[in-house]
Amino acid sequence: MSEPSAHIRDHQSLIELNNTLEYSADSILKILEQVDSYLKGVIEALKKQMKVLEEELRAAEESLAEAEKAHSSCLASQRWVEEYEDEDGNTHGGYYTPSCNSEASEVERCREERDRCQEKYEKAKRICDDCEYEIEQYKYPGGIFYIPPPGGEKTMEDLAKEHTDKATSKMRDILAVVEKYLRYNMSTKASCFSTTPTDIDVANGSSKTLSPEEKKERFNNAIQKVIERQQNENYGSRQIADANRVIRCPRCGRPPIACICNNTREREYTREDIQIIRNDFSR
Amino acid sequence: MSNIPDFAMQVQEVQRQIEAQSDVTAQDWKDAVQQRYYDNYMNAYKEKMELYIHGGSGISGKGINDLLVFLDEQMQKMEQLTGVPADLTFMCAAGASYTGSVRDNYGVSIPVEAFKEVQERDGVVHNEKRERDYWREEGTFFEPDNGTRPGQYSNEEIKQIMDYRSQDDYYKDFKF
Repeated sequence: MSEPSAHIRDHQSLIELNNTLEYSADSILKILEQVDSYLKGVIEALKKQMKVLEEELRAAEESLAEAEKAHSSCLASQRWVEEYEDEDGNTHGGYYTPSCNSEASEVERCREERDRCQEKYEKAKRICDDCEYEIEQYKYPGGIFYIPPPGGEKTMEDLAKEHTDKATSKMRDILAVVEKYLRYNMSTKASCFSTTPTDIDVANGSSKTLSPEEKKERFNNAIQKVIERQQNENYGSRQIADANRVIRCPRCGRPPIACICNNTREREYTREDIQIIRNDFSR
Repeated sequence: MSNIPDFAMQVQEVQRQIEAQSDVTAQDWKDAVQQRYYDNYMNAYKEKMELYIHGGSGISGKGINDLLVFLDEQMQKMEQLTGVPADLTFMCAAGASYTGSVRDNYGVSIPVEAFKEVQERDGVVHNEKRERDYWREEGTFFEPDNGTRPGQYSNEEIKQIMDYRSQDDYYKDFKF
């Protein structure tokens, strides 16, 4: 079966898609970088608090040891007072002296305090462990043949790196073919492989290249559609939490997606790759 | 008060940018190659970003949305144990990436654009109905097109941002 004819009304639109992929992939990496630094920060901050609890626990254990020491030395110094009757016939003695009741109650108090600190420490440790576990899962690189699958970080990293590399390189190949066969740069002119508009175009009443105004309008419509979809899907377990903290790039002060500091993706590119991308941009 | 950074929102912004542009490009490019290209490459963006945000059987662990909520809950539990406010823990965790803003003033209502019913909602950056121009609150160095939302940039703005990104010192040795 022969393939339907190629139909590209505006080759600039393909370049724009490529630019968007480059930009979005770079933004994704910037977001991942900020997420990573936040997650590390959370663990660090929780561990600092663990130190406080650890210190409290240590102090409580020391107090308990001291109290026990005082109690045992008190016990050691005790002597038994034999029972005797005084001249009035009252019975005395039959106990140890000096009394260690206060030392014993101090030991009890310290033990309770130590138990309280121990419990707090264990609870905090569980919190830290849970957080570490979830973060490890998020950073999990994935098993052999992706079983079990990788965590969120690796999934997005692959998307922003390998997948985007393939997508943009394929697009550049397509653009090269387009230019080769049309023998002129189509970025400035309307162009069409097929001599006749497709059925879809006829049905839409559009067989010409979109004007910049039309394009802008369609872009805005597309954004509205995406926003509506995102809002409609935002319920139940898929509800996006009400974020109340804006994370910004520490250097330029903009959110990672709009950050203007160094191109993260290009770091892994060769000089030739960068040149190709820049040529795409300057068309 | 919870402390949830807006990472999931930012990924949604990227999603918007890609999906809107792919929609517009699809208007200008309608052939079998386009279909194959979209099937092989473009669809993955939506799927993976959805997975990243919401989690699911395709990834290990929680999605970023649940992970951030989980961490916030843990920080609040920790507050009960140590007495160190969860807000302070968050600020330590976010470090220089969090510059603080009007949202830190507890009880101060924050104007939310459009939708009357959620105007003056307390301290929320985003909600399912409406979003604020959160990135404009403190003034930034660079606002293309007088403050276009991230995720809704025109191609010109994208080129401008990419151009800025390429001007980093790291590349000063390269001669373009």
